[in-house]
Amino acid sequence: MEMNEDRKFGLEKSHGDHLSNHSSGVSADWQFNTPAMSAAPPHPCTAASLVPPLTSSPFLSAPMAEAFVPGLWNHHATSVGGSNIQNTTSAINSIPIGRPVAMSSKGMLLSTPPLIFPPSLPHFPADSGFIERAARFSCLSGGGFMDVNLLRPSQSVAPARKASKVVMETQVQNSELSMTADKVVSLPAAYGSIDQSRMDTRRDRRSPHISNSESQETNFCEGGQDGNVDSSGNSSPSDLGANKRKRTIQDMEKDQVQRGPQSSSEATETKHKVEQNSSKHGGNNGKDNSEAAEEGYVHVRARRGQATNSHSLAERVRREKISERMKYLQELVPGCSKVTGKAVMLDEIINYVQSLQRQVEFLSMKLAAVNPQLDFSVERLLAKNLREFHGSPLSIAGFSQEMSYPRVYPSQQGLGHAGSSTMVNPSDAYRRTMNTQLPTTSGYKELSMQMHNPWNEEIVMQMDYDANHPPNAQEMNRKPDGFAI
Amino acid sequence: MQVTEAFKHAFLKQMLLGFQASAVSTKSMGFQERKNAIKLSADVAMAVARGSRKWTRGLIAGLSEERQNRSFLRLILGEQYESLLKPCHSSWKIPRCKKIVRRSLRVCWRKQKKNQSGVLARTLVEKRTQELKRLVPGGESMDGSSLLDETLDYVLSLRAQVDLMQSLLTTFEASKLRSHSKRRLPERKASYVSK
Repeated sequence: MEMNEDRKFGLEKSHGDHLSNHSSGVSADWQFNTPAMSAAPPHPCTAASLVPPLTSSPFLSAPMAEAFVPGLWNHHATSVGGSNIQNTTSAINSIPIGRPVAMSSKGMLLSTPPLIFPPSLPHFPADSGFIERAARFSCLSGGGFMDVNLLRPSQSVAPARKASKVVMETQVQNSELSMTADKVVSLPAAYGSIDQSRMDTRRDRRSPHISNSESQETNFCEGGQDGNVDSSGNSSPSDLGANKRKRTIQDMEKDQVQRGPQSSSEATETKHKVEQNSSKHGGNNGKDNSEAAEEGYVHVRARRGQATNSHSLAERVRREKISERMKYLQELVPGCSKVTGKAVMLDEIINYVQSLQRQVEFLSMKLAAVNPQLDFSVERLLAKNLREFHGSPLSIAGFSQEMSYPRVYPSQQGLGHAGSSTMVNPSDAYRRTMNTQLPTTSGYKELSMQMHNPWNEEIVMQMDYDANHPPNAQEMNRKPDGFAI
Repeated sequence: MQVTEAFKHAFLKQMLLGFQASAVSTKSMGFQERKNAIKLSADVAMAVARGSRKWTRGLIAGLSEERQNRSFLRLILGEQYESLLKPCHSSWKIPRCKKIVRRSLRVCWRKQKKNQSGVLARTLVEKRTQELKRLVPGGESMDGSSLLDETLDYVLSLRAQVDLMQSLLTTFEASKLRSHSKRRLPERKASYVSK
């Protein structure tokens, strides 16, 4: 019972995305319900225990449905179609009434399912694909009770295609997700081979977009698990569900067709760090980025028409990273907006870096030439010049942070006007810098003695030196990371 | 993407400190030595202001290769100097599992057998990456994407360095000009001061 429950929950999750993408009315309903349902109840055990064998009547009564809809969705939101209804009905019957209250974190959605569910009931039995899927999922967890139902609804042929696609997709997703050495075509094997830990990590690596649901999924998945198999059964479908939520209808179908054979044939043995889930669509990229930022893993989904080999996935991740950086560099290096292609861009970057380095050399040469004494009585110089240098972004911007000192240099009594206050500050800042830094730099003792002497008269003169501003010292030692990108 | 004011601030501070640190020894220096001292202090200031990045560590490591710079570096950095040098190793290779490397090479090789079109482009890119690695300090031990990252950072800092030195230069030149004019026109000192 427990296993079934967990499985159902997992089913719901894995299929949730699929449901949302399903063009059928059923899926639309499921779509509403899945997010609500993903607020899974924290007591899957009870639910599981309550799920009777799916021999109960396929159609649940409306009031029952209303009461148990949340739990129902939790169970079965993922499974699309007929099997769902089987499971859901049983689940509905079994779930205690009190459950829905605890479950729905999205109260508004709860209201809709009861309305939607009854009309969609007739659709369920028609879709055998879900049943097949459910069957496979059930196989994974080793439970057999779901198989009973699966046999029954497998009459409809029309949705069979879709169902098979769904199944393939599940398989594909599973194989993608698991990436284990013993990946096999059938889902059960794939599930079975999944490590507990990896499932956990995968469970943890949910996109923030469905983070709420996922956390709750994990909650109740873990709560309900009896062992490895159960949790793997739970989490793999939940992974699938999460994955599927990211995908569109078209992608799903095509992917299934294309990737099914691929994934089954390719054996991704390595428990790759790039075991990945990111969706390929731009709309989902935000999730990927945040995921990567959170976990340090990169979730990547193989794109449509591309190999799902872990190597190719990793390569693609690498390439995307590199192209992203190249874009930044393109903005940075002047005149590179029209350039396309790595080689030419790199060429431009190299030229730019070389030119900047040469510029630094040249400027240092000029600085050496301009001040032959190199006494760098910077203070005096800057104090005089910064007043003039209104336009100098360096002085103003760099020292606008300094506290304004409405003081006037003793040497420039005439500069009493307000305009000089800002200018005076930089020089104050410099002075403060020099005077605070000199004593604080370790290993600097002998030099500081010598240095202080020429500065001493400055210090004495600068009566406005405020000892209450030691922040500079801390700033210096702090080694600020001054970039904001 | 711009450098922050805090960075510019710290950069300038460090540079002026560095100028001071080297000033005593450069009183009797020749032009070349002065220029080198200025450049050294500018580079160190850039690295210190930026914080701890791969390229800053590489830069300081590169600078300390020469004996003459070491005393200056020790002065400026203090106790951080030793700690900065230790972990940074330009010859460090990124540790890679041989098995995985071999397998990926095999895959790439098989792909190459089928697809020869991108070979030329790839070699060009490889060549340029090598050159970029030489340019960016500490770049030898970086892989492709982090190299670009560090390059980005490095370019930003270089730009800030150039801007800073340029403004310093104009400041000095202006002050020099004014002092010259002051000397030549002492009778106008009063009006000048009153400005």
